[in-house]
Amino acid sequence: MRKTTTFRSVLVRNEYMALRGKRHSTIVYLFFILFMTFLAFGFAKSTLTYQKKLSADPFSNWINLNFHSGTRDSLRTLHEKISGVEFRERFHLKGSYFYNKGMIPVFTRSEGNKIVQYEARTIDPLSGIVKDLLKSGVCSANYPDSTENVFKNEPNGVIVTRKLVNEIGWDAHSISFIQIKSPVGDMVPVPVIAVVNELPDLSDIAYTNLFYCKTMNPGFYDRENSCYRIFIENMDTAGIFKVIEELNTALEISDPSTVQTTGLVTGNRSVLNWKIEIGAQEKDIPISVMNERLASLASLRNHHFGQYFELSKDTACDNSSFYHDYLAIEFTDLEKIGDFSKYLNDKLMLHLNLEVLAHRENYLYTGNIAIGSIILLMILSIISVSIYISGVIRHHLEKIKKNLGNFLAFGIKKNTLTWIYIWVTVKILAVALFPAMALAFACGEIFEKFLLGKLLVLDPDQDYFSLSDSWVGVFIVLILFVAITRTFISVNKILRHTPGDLIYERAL
Amino acid sequence: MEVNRNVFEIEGLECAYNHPGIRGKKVVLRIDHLAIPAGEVTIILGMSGSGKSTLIETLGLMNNTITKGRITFTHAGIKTDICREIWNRPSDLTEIRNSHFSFIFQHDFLMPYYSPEENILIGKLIQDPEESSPDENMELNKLCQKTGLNFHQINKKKTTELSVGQKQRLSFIRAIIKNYSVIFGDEPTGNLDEVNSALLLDILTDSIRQNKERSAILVSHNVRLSIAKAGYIIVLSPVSEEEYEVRSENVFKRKGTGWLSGCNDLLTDSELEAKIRNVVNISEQKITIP
Repeated sequence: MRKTTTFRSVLVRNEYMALRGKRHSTIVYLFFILFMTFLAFGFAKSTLTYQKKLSADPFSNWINLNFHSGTRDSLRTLHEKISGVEFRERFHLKGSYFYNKGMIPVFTRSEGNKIVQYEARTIDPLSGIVKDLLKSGVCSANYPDSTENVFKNEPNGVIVTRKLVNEIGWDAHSISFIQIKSPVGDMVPVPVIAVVNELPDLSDIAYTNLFYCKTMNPGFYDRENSCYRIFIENMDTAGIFKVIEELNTALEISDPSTVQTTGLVTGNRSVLNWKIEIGAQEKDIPISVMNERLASLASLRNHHFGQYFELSKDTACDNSSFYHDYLAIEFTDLEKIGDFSKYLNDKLMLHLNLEVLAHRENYLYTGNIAIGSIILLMILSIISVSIYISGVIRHHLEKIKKNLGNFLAFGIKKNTLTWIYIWVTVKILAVALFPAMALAFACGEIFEKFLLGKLLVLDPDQDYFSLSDSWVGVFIVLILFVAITRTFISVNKILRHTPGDLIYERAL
Repeated sequence: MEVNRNVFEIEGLECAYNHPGIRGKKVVLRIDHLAIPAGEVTIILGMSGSGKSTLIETLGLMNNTITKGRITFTHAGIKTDICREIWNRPSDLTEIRNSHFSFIFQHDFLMPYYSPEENILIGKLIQDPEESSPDENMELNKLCQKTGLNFHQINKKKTTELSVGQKQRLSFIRAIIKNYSVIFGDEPTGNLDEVNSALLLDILTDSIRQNKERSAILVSHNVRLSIAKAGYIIVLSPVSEEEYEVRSENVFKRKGTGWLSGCNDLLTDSELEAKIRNVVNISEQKITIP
């Protein structure tokens, strides 16, 4: 067979073998440096990502200021100032809004319509915190298409926690409504906009200031409707026909046209909810008896139902009769929180809770330390690799400089030799780098899966070791760039001499 | 039209180097006029430090020593000026070296970790980087045989395992296997005994005779071997302790069984040897030229 050999292939093969060293010492050394770097980088970057996640957490990047007679004017001034773009940019603020806290009684399904009080707080529908809440940690979102304002279609809707849903006997993925108790004791179905893992202030229900205002004013409940109304959740069409059939018998309904059944698309779209309105009957049965008879229906077993009232869809409510409890201020990042605290103190005589401030500043500090460490690690690794590679190449070229002079005398182009050495450098780096990366990945993943869990309480949503990051790409590009540059300089330092000077070792 | 049969023509040449402690370059060699004929083995003789290597380096474009003067290189009727300015045109330099020049040095300059085969072929591969077929290269086998080497046996060894003489012969083959116009040799047989030195010079002479466009310019300290094998001899003469020149009376061309000097004196081999020894002060060596 005809064997084809080129100058380039001969040089690349032999120079690679010479430069990789005895027993691949160059590659082993580079492999070790890069393995340690990737391992440390994988953990450090994941830690930083975790820290950033915590820092960007809606529960971390906002502060509360108490609203009372002493702070009322200052808070209103501050709220106005924050509405200005310049002020927001100066202190890296997203916005501010007043909110209230309270308790909401909720009917449970699990213990025979028992009522449990849940902590609730109001929330600005357009605030960043709502978007952040629905972006991360959401169990189910019933209005995923309402990206700008999830409360737009349901101003009387609520965001609830998974804990609440579980406690009232529903499934987080199929709940459409919670039944709250009005100030006068009526059951009021309220559409669930989303179920989330957590809500700010350890609340279980978040709703709008408008809704809050309505709950404080009894006039918003449709108590004028004389029909007996049954609200049935999560039932298919066949099921509702069965309910109507049983209901006609149980409530002794003589005229079926007095029963109006309507399917509701409100709430969770994967389940059907129904409202049945029963008009005046020939035989008047007391509501308490009707409730008892419905409770005995087999078709309604395992379904939440009951006589209910609706909250009006009005979009205005006079809230002048009560004060807000707090002013919430949201940050885009926490970089200026120290300056903002000083501003509040100096200009508005408002004082941030020092513990909260320290907590927020710690986030910022640890984040910066992590970034600094990663950058230092990368620089250290790049310097080590480039110094080592250029040392190996320089030493090698010094040894063979007479031979290189001979090559130049025979008419090889300097550029050809330079590119051959650059190619060999890249080959050596690649042979060390990719296995080092693969081993670091394997070791990191094994450590994360089998050992880290024994040392820490792990967040299941968090990756504690990751190399799939753009920084890894940047690192590889940088290390290649620096190594290539150092090789280029080292080779050209030798090749700038004439062949004669190299061969006769003249003036070198 | 007269065909130019000189491979190099030198006019008013001054070669100089930077010397430590001296401002500017110091002239080490002057040549008013010198024509080196094509198709001949030209040997340059001179005392140590007389500028023999300087002349080889200058002509072979290994070093830019020219401070004054002009050198014209002629191949196949095409003249190229090898002046100072050519060093500002790296691609031209590489092209001339690659297409026309080949080199043999006193040291073999073989790459220690390359195979003997790769070392032999490297010069040819530099010239023709695309392809070579070493297994089928009959010329290579023949050349090895001529130099007394068994290629297949040699190639089983590492280059570092070869003797000095074997390595020197490999470097000789590396130079001669390349497609060259001028082969430059700086004491090319310095590490070989007289018998093998003469053998290699015979092979070189054969190579040149096969193609009259080829020439060899060698530096040697061996006067008797030079007289026996050269077709043209240049003896560098001292001007001062550190400066040398080429005088026409010290340039000799083989004519029949004798030598014709630049002053048209006809000399026998022994007369030439005596004259050269007188100039270069090299003591007689008790050797037999085959």
